[in-house]
Amino acid sequence: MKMSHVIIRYNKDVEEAISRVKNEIVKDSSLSSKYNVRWLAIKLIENDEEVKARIKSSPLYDAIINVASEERRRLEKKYNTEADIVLANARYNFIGKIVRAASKGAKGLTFTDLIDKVILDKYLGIPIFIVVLWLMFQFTMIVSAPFCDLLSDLFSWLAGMWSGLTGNEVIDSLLFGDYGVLNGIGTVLGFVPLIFFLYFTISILEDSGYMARAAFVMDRAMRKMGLTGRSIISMILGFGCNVPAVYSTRAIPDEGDRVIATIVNPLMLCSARLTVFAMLAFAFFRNISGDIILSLYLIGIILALLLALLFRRIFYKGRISPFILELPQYQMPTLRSVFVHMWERGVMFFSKAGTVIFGGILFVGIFSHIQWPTLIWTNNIESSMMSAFGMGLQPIFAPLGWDWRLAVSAFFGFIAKEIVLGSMSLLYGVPEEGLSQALPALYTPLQAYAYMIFVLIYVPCIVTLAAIWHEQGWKWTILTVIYELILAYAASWLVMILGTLMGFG
Amino acid sequence: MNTKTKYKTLAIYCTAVGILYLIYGVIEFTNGFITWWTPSELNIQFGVKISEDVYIPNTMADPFAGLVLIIVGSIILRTAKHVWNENTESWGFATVSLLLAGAVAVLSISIITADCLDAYYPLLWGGEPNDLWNFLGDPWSLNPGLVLFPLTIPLFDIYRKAKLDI
Repeated sequence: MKMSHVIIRYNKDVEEAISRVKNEIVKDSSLSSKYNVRWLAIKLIENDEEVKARIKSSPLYDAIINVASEERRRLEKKYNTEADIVLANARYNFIGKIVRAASKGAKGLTFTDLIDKVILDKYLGIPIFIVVLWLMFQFTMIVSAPFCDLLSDLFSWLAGMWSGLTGNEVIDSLLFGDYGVLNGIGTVLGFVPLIFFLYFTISILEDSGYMARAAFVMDRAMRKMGLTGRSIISMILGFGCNVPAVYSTRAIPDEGDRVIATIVNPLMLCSARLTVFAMLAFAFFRNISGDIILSLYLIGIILALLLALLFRRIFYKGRISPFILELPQYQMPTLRSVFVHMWERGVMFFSKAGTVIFGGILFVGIFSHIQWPTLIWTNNIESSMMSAFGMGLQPIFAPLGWDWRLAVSAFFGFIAKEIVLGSMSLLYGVPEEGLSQALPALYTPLQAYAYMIFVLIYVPCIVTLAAIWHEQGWKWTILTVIYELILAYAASWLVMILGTLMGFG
Repeated sequence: MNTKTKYKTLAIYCTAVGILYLIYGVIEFTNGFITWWTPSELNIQFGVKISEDVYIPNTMADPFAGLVLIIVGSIILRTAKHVWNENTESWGFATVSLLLAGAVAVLSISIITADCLDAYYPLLWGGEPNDLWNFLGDPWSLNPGLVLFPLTIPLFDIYRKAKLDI
């Protein structure tokens, strides 16, 4: 059987570039006899490091590389994108022509092609992504509300029923009292339905094939900001949990892209912070809580993009590696697979609640019952060690209008963000439902929103910090902590100032 | 009606529906923008009044919901353009329009159900309701995203017809 060799013909500009590089390569007969000259020229225009290494021994190496670099720059200037993307697009167009010629029907377009013409549209892609996010958070926040309230009522009932169960006043007040651990842990567990609803919607988006499109759509905006589209995958994973998201940056080949994607990832609103925001949004903005949450997600994304731009300018000037992603076919998600994914991720929340969150809340609970400085057991939280510690922190946060309880809750959130919620419940001495009534009596919606902004931005949880340390080393971890603390305080303060000026104070 | 006339009629219909989505989107966005981000309140309504403060459709003061309606309206208008030109792309645009408009309607129904459940779940153990919920009093019950959705159903005709050509 005779095999015919197919040569992909590129457009005039690319062919001219290939021709000029070829003319330089053929001057070295050892290269032209060993390699296909056209292939070599294309690879050099694409700046393929492996191919460059192979021809390093050529006496004409510098001259060939100079011509290839010049042609690459010319193409990039003309097409306003990387040369390898120009060449890849041309190859995909060639493949498309073959598919259209070989398949029946309307221009050979498939269901996926036609939907992608809308979803990946230059102007509609990002607006559609915003609509999808809005649908996702409205569904998660509002539809999960009755189930969260039901669980919260259950924990309040349990606390009441178990009160006096141990017969020991100290243990009883620590576990089941108003300022007890069950109060705190129950408040956190009350948000389990919210977590399941969130993972339910994320699973639908993943299984349908939309998540990959979201990465593709965001790539355009992100490239302008100095992030590669590859980072959007880790950013979307960050909506679930920042720890796997930080580890997922390993897939980014370029060091600069990888470091930047890692250190801005904690700005993605994870499911742990969602529980805190859900409570505050319900308490202060009941009917529009879904919109408030969406605004926090958008603020997180925008800040991540702006900081990526800043860090790239400071630390990693230069080109961004191209992003080539094979998009899967659209599929109708099956209920079974969606529920399996939802369950696998949601159940992790339970194990975290039983270990880290329980430990953190127990710590806050014990030190809220030890009187300062006498160190005797007390039920008066105002004279406790935790209160003394909070009073020490409070002046720092006075410009933001926090009392010592909010300061302590935020402080212990560095262990795990759910502890912010559990600590609040414990320190204010009310379950979740009571918290929704107690907090609006103490704070304005503006102060609550500024607090949410602070919790969104300030230091990630300790496990995420360990992941950043593991992946990028201590220097980048310290930078992450410092920039996030400064940014969180500044952003929160700015919200207070602007809000007050706008009449929301 | 021949096919060409049918496409033109469908395109005009799509334009009308797209414009309705845009109008209600702009109203919700404006109501929300003024109410949320300025000290004033605004409640522009553009519908049939059925009782005190209840209209069909009943626009909310929500800039994000308004933005969503504007985006859905824009996609329906792009569908109209492709249907008018009898492009194959009209199929993709009609499908995405139907999916998004349908998702907004399903979300509205889910939220209405959740609001009702949230008010009355204490009755499960013989307690007092949390709230006195009624259909017309729920801001989501007659919101434009739900009320306008049935108008998008004829777009299914584009989906059905074009699908045969693929």
